[in-house]
Amino acid sequence: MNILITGGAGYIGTGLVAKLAADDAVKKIVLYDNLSRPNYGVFLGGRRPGAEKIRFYKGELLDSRHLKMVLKDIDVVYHLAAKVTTPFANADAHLYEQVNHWGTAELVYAVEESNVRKFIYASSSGVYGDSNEAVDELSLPAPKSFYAISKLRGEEHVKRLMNKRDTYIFRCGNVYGYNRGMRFDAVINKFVFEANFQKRITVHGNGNQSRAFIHIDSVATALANVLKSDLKGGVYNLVERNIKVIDIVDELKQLIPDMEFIFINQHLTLHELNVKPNETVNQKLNLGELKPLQEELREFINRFSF
Amino acid sequence: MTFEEIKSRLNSYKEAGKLMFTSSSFQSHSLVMLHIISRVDNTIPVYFINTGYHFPETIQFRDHVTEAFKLNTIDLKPEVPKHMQMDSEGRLLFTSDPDHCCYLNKTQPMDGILRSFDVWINGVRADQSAVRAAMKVEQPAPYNTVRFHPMLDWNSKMIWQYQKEFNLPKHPLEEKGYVSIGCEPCTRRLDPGMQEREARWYGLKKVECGLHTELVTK
Ligand code: SF4
Repeated sequence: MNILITGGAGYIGTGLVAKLAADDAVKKIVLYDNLSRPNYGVFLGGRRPGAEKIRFYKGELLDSRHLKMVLKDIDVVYHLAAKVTTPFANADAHLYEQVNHWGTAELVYAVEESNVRKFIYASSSGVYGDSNEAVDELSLPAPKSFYAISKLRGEEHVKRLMNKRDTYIFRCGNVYGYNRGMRFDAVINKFVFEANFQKRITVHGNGNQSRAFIHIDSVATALANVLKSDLKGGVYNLVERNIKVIDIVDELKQLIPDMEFIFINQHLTLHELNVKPNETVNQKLNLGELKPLQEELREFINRFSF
Repeated sequence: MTFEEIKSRLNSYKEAGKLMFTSSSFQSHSLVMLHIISRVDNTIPVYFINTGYHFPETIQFRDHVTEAFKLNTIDLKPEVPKHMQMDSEGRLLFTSDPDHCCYLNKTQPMDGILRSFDVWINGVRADQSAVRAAMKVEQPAPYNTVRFHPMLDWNSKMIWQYQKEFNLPKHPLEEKGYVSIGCEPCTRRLDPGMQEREARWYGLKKVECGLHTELVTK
């Protein structure tokens, strides 16, 4: 089986490639990435098992000519490449559209002309917008941010493939946890870094907002297991738990007692989104028992070099 | 032109050994001509100019109509990849130079097709714009070709009657308030009080995409 991962050098891609390289059924893994976030983690750390299967192509999603070439002998596509949201950045809406919407459209067109059998798209639970009540797959999307709007548009293009290929859309919660390709702008990762190295966490809003989360290892496991599971194509939430921001702070405080936390604007009630974990999906994709958050945070902190 | 007139014109082109093709944007009103053509000869190639900027609904509708009318639909894609279609701000061209965008994604690909045929069956109607009102039923086009405009004298009422008579399907976005549907970035759902013409390239003087201004000999 030959696999292409767009955004293969990103956070999720770095986790996924490790799982896929270890799978005997996988013969070739192509990482297709433009390295727009200069993150070279996936290339580092010494030779890994299955290294000979992995190739890298530096390329753009909007480069239909290049896409066509790299898709030639590919059976499965993981579409992870995206312009990702950075909290509070007042970015140009067009840039999200360009990559997440039109880039996805180009990829879907290229896939339609290829022999790809399976298409797996990492979308975001952000497409639901705000909700205090836990949403599930039947809830209507109502995206609020430029990022989420563009991801939903991407979904609409991917859905066209549904009656032609095995097509999966996973609306992932906020991803956190250590790997070499990690991002430090995601809330838990940022907190853990600040707690460990600065001993002071910066909290936005009053901290009561809760969000849907999934650990990076779980996302990678779930995505890799799509190849083996009997889960039918469709749109699924990929979430493990909902946590209030202030509760994350609490858990960290227990691990690092002399840590402080400071509120930037505690009069603000920020939007929240709770997503019902889909137990059937999590089970079919073999996510296993959920670890206590504190244990995960401890393991995370142990990955730091000091 | 009536169905019979269109049919006999198409047949006479065929007898004269002319190679024909048509192009369609697969909007509800364009289906009338496609349906007529399919009744006469459904092997005539139907080029869909796939700019890459269509609504997913349009692509689905295209597939549905192709199957229902048993059309010989061909997807026509631009040669220039989108990452080479950026302006100096790093944005896609429709944000600053739609004429250039239309040129690369519509006119240039169609220009290539035109070279390999003799007759372009084109569904423009005189009541759609001033440019189109000035056209003739048969009009010379580049590379020694002819544009044949069978729908030129049709009006909305006739279109509506034909749609009704043959129970033609409707573009799914129509019931959501879109009246004229092209590429998503340049199509606007009309607010109350807006005119039909404002559904496309709203705010610009642009009313045509170049297919009907550049690929025609005046
Ligand atoms: S209609 Fe708009 S998006 Fe489509 S080709 Fe023309 S300028 Fe580009």
